[in-house]
Amino acid sequence: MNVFRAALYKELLLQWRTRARVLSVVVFGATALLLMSFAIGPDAGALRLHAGGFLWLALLLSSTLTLEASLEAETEQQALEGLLLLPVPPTILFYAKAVANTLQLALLGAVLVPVAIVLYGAETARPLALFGLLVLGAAGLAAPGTLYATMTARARAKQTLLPLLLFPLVVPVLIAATKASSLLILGDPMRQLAAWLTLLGGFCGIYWTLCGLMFGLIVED
Amino acid sequence: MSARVEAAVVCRGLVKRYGSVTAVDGLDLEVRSGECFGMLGPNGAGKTTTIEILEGLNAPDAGEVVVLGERWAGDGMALRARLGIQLQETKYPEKLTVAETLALFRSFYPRGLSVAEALAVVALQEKADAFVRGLSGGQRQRLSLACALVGDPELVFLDEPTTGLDPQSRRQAWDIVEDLKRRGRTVLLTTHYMEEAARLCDRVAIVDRGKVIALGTPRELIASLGAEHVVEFAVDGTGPAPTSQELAALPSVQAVEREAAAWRLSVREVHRAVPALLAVLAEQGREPSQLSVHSATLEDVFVHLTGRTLRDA
Ligand SMILES: Nc1ncnc2c1ncn2[C@@H]1O[C@H](COP(=O)(O)OP(=O)(O)OP(=O)(O)O)[C@@H](O)[C@H]1O
Ligand SMILES: [Mg+2]
Repeated sequence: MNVFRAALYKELLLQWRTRARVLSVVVFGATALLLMSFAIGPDAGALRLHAGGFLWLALLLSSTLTLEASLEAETEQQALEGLLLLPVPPTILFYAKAVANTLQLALLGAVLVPVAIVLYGAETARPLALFGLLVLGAAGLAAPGTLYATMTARARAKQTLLPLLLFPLVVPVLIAATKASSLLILGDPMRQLAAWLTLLGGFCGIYWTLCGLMFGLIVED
Repeated sequence: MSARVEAAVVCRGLVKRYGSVTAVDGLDLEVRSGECFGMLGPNGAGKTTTIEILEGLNAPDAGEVVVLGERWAGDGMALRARLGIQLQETKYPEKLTVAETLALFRSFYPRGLSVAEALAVVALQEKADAFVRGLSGGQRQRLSLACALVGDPELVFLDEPTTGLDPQSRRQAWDIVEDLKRRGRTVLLTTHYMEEAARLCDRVAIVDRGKVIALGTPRELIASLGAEHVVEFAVDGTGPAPTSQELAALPSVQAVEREAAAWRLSVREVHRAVPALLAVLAEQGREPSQLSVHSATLEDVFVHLTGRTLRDA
């Protein structure tokens, strides 16, 4: 547990030190939201209807940028091999990285939500639930994202490989997160929210377990 | 079962192939507890490959390895906690400071030095708050040494710990190793500097093409030449030249080697061999274009065994 705390602290510290980069990602995400709102036009009803989907799309695009940044420091310099020297299971280091990435993505989401509220009129009556949903969705993106950033770290064309690998895997997460967001924004007369959140949570659980196991295997290769 | 493990590292018949290259070719080693053991060899001799197999980073194609009485099996975490490892090249996150990097490594080990102690060991106190990004090559090397020592390991693997260091930093690194020896730690290091091996190591294995070709204390190895000094000379141009037989017959000359116009004589007593050599040359109307004498070193042992120098092997 000590080891996990130390590793998480290191990840967060590194993120804090590279915050200028995160800022550019925020601008990127906000720009994506802006463009998509223009594509829909001034119809307030249509904007609200699509807000959930576009919010997650913007988050997904931004996530590929932040995840790569998080591994860049280590991979450019083959520090992954260094992990094997430590008397620490690599899996612990993976979870520290994934938790840090989750926090960063959730924070990004929390910044993008107000933007979406302004652009799409996407207020919700349950802001806390929306924040919980952001964390859950971020976790669903972060675990496979962290893993794939490691896998493709050595491939030359990692900029193109990462999204290629990440997108298909996170489709279920995105669908569930989008659905749940729409329900929070538009209202939930049929009480479907719980089902979608359960689905989302289930996928998160699966990804976090599988990715943790696979990270150990990849690093030892 | 013996209660005490006498050998810190034992490996037998180690083989590692990369495609058609046999990097390690049936290598045997035994490192005793508390000694500083050196692997000396030219580039590509297989030193890094061997040490990485011993560290459990690399799996051998054949052979067995026992480290601190254990084999590499399972995740090896308990064993890892007792080792300190400096890779030939390690990189650390550029945006952490030196002290933060050491604190991180320290938190991974169950026991060890404090960050301040580790900094003091490698004399990096002044750089404690500097970012890794801003360190010079030699300072990075010292940081990686500190990271290897911060868990207070029983057995330390150092792969070319002084390559790229300036003479002063090299001497500091030597002091660190000598301090480890004093505290009863076992050190296995690789190097291609023979002065380093001669000065630091209790025993040295000379490695070439994946095999140990000589083993012993630096003194024993040099003594195996049968001569304490090496006379090197060259005669340019044409005309009569001394033959190997003539040279071998000179007083106190033990061995003669020739490389183009350059000759190497292994001699026991310089004051008898050199005048005789000059006399032979003078008889033939020649003068040496070069003449030098040095005490025999591990380098000479390597040359004697392989016919090549460590640098151009
Ligand atoms: N991953 C690898 N793939 C292919 N060949 C390799 C690999 N690692 C090492 N080799 C080869 O194995 C041989 C031994 O390499 P090794 O790195 O062990 O030498 P070394 O003694 O450490 O040399 P140096 O003094 O240059 O560090 C070399 O011929 C090298 O090219
Ligand atoms: Mg090497």
